[in-house]
Amino acid sequence: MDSIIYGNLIDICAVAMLLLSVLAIASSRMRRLSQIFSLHSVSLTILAFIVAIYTENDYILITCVLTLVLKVIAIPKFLNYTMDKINMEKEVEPLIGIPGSLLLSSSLIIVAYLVTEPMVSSLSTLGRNCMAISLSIVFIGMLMMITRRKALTESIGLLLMENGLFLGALTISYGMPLIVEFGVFFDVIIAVVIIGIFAYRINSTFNSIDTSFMRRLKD
Amino acid sequence: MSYLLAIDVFVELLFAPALLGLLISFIPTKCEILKNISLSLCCISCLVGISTYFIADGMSDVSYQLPISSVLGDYRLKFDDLSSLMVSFSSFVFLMIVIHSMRRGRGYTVKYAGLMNILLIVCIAAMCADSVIMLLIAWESISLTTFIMSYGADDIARWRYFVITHLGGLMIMAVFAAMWYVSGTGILSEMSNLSQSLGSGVATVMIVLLFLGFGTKLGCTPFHAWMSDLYYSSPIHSVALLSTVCSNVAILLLVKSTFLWIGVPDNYILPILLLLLASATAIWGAMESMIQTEPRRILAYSSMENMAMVMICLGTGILFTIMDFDSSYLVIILAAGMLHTLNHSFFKSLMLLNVGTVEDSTGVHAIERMGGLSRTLPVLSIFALVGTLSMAAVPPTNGFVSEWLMIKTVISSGVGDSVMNVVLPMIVAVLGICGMMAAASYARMYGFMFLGRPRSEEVAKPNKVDRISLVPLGMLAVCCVVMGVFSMPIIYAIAGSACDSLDIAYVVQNTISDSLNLVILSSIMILICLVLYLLFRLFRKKKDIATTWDCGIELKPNMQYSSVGFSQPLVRVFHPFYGDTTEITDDVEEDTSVYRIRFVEPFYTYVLSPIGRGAMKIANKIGLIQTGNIQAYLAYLLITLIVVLLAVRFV
Amino acid sequence: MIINPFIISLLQAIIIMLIAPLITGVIRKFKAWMQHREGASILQPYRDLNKLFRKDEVVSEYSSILFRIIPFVCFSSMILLAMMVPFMFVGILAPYGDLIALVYIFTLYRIMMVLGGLEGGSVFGGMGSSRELMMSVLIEPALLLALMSICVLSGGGTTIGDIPTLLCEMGLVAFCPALMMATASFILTLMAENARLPFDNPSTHLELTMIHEGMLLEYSGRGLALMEYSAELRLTIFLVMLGTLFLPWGIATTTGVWDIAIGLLTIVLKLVLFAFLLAIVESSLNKTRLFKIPNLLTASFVLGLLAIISLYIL
Repeated sequence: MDSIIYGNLIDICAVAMLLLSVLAIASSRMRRLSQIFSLHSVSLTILAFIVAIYTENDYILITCVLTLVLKVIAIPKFLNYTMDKINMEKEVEPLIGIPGSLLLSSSLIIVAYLVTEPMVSSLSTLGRNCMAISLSIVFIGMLMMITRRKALTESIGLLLMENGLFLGALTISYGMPLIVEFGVFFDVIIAVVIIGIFAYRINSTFNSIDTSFMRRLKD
Repeated sequence: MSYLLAIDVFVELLFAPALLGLLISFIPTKCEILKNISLSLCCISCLVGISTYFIADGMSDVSYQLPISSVLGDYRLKFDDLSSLMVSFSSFVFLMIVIHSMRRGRGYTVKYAGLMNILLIVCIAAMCADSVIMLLIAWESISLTTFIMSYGADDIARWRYFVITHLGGLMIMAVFAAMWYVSGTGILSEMSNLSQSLGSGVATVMIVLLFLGFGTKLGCTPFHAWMSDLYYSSPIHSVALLSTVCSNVAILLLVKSTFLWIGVPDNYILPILLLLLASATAIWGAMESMIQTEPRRILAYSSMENMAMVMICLGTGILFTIMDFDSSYLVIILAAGMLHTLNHSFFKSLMLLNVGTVEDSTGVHAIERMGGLSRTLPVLSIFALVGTLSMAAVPPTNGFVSEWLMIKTVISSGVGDSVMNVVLPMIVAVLGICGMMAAASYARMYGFMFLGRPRSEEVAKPNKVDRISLVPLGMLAVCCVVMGVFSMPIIYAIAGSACDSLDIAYVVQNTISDSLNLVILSSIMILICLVLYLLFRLFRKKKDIATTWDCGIELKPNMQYSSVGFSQPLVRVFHPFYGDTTEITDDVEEDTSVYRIRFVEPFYTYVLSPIGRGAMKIANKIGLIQTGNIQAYLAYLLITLIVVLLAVRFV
Repeated sequence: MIINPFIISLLQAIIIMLIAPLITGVIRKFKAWMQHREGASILQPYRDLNKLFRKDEVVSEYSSILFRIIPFVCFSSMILLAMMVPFMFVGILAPYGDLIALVYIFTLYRIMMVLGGLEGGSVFGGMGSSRELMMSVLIEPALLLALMSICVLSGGGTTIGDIPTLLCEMGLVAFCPALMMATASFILTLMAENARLPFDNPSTHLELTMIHEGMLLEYSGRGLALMEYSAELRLTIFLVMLGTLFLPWGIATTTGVWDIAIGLLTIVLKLVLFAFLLAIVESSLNKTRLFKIPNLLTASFVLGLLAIISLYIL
């Protein structure tokens, strides 16, 4: 009975993460994107918390707190700060239009489901159904990096991918070893800081952070 | 003995009047009476054809062997349950089309009447063929007859049709020859479930080839390129026959080959491939019909879309068989597909004959210049309204029942645990979007032809319509409504025949009519309308007639929505698929602007044209051996002789 | 005491007919309160209909007999739906129509309105019809998928009466993500079909912003009264579907008088709650540009698709 309630709650959090990823790929405003990312990380935190309670594992609790501090509070604040410094305008239309991106992301979800379906039955962890969802979030993050032109939006795609991978790790094997988690977190922070600095630099060179302008460097 | 005699008499009654009509057409005169006699003989054959189902239902094994035979085997016909049902319905539609063609003043010759007779004979022969030879000869004759019947059309359109249909015929011939070889017999009723001996891969290839081969007639992409141009310029009766009766033949043969003769192979790739192909065709047909400006072209793409929906049903049936669902689902989805084919023949022939009548009385071919016909041709507009509502799948017409059955079956089968279940919501989504886009397109066609104000002089004063044209239109319209409201017996008849003919072990139960009773629903609606109307008559109010709200300007004919503008929002939404470009040219001297929208037909530009050019290049290269020099030809003779002798000696 | 189901269905049709204008009045009142206005009384739609029924009609000289028939057909199809939809009791008119027939009767209503817009040859009607068709092409698959997901979730077929019963029996298990996503998709479809903000402004007078109102421009007098009444009925029926098919707790499953009374009370409370929420949503959004509407409708479609897929994944 317990595991059914926990299972349901984990399912709800995972689906919330998936829906937020789809919303991220469909929205065109930068402020909205950083809010979506922090909500995404909130769902991930709640899910990690539930897994920590169910498995009575302290390490997952530590990563849960880390996620809360870094991804819910620190990184969105840094992204907002960068946006203010750049004084950027709204996102331009993505390469394939919003309905196209929505349909493409739903086909990616179906592909993720077809690919992970044989593996699910061989697992015995609590949230094994969420493997398809984690792979879909990774795909959608990658899609966002491919079809968006502004550098900051691409960085949010990267962050979503990392969240999806963390979800996958949680559901398949109840978290990775703590050292690996720390390493991944530091990588993500450095990546965001570097992207923030670069965005500022790109903006001051081209007066816009539209990465298609960087093709001019080829000439 | 008398039993066999009865069968012989029946078959002779079926074919003899048509053959007589054909012989009459060889007489070289221009007499009107002979044409009418020939067409009447065709009608007699059609009437016998309608009774086929009722006769064959009573008897158990109605087969007939032609008194001539060939070196490749006998010519046999077999009227099993499913074939006789299709023959009955198709003969009724044929009869209506023939009656409509008897109207005055159109200039059909006796030869055309003879061609119609031939088409009737070969269509029935193809539907009931029992030997491979009979089938292939009948299919080829259908292709040739329809090609000849489309005289008056653009030459390029006709030859494109000829090439594509024969390509399909080649594929069909190859598959049936392979079936003959593997099963060892040329009689179709002795072949069953060949996929066991063929192996799953070969059987998959054969079924895909059959779908593509029959799809050349049905309009499967990329073989649909001939439809639009041919429908636009051929005589309307050829188009009607091609679109309805020939499609019925193709679907019947496809169903029998896939589920009875070859059997379904145990391979997931096949249904996925077929569903992808059929969905692409359906969506493309619906999208293209939205932007056409002539009613015949709209109906051409609509035929393509409806036949694609039937192919989706067949693909779903294959999927159900592979996924080992209860055989009730298979039977009902097949019944839905066959019902949609029959309904399509009724409403499509109704609309095509309607469009033909409108073109006869107004002489206008584009909907840009029509309008307001509902006040000048009121009876015709009522029949057209029934046809449009039936095409758009609006209750309580027959088009609604078949689409309802398709969607209901796919949704009800969604329970289950298999991986392939994700395909089912996509099928529902495709059916939903195609149905609605097609309905939008037909509403546009009806609204522009019959409603509104006339947009040109010819349409403001049309000629009167012949009484004899209205009779078949009225009968078809009544049938559309009746077949919709009383559709349950028809569904059970089709399901029962499918079980018998396709050897499916299932007894049809009355579960479908538990979910829909159109008789009661429509009677409730009519009752409410009547009550309201009586209440309104009781408390009479004045009704003034005034002009349309015109903001104070005098309304000219072109101050209405144009057909291109009507479809603009959808074109904007689906812009990447249409690839449309807009050019605006301003003429400064005359102070006018021309606004032109160009649509790309990608299948013709990117698939068929390059193949055509490649074929011409190869043909030109081969043509170089024709030098015209007599020494060269003698040299060819010598070389060929030497090669053949060497081959015989050493091989 | 047990009541005959057919009598319940007639009773239900009469009740829905009576409260449909009230729901519209309540929505307008809540919107007025959100704008710090007093607003018209909640009985105002009744007075509007009364006024229209008493007026004479003016009909365009270019319209045909179809124009006179369309208001009757639209109104009677909505009354038929009012008899088919589960309101206080499941299993109304159950052997006579199912969920897909319900969707197609909405299609009948829509096509009739579109043809009515093209009558008379006015440009407003043509514009309203063309935009309405654009929206309906995108609405239809979303609606079908949302309904398919609750069919598959409840395990029943497409019989309307089975779905609330089975969902109530499933208890807490029914509260899965699929149901929430299907409900969200259905809410978006509801707002698009009934010409609510952000898709269309139901109280506008400017032709640039009208879709639904454009098709009604040529009607007057009793025809207009019937068309307005049918629009109000359509909104009420959609809200009833939301309350009884997607969130069915409280509906009566047996025909005892007590159960029916509780069912009636529950659905009326749900309707008032939905009206309140609808008013809040409408007051906080602006009307979307016409060619941004496909984005919202595609989102509804994707939500429906995800709802079904999550049933298979989870």
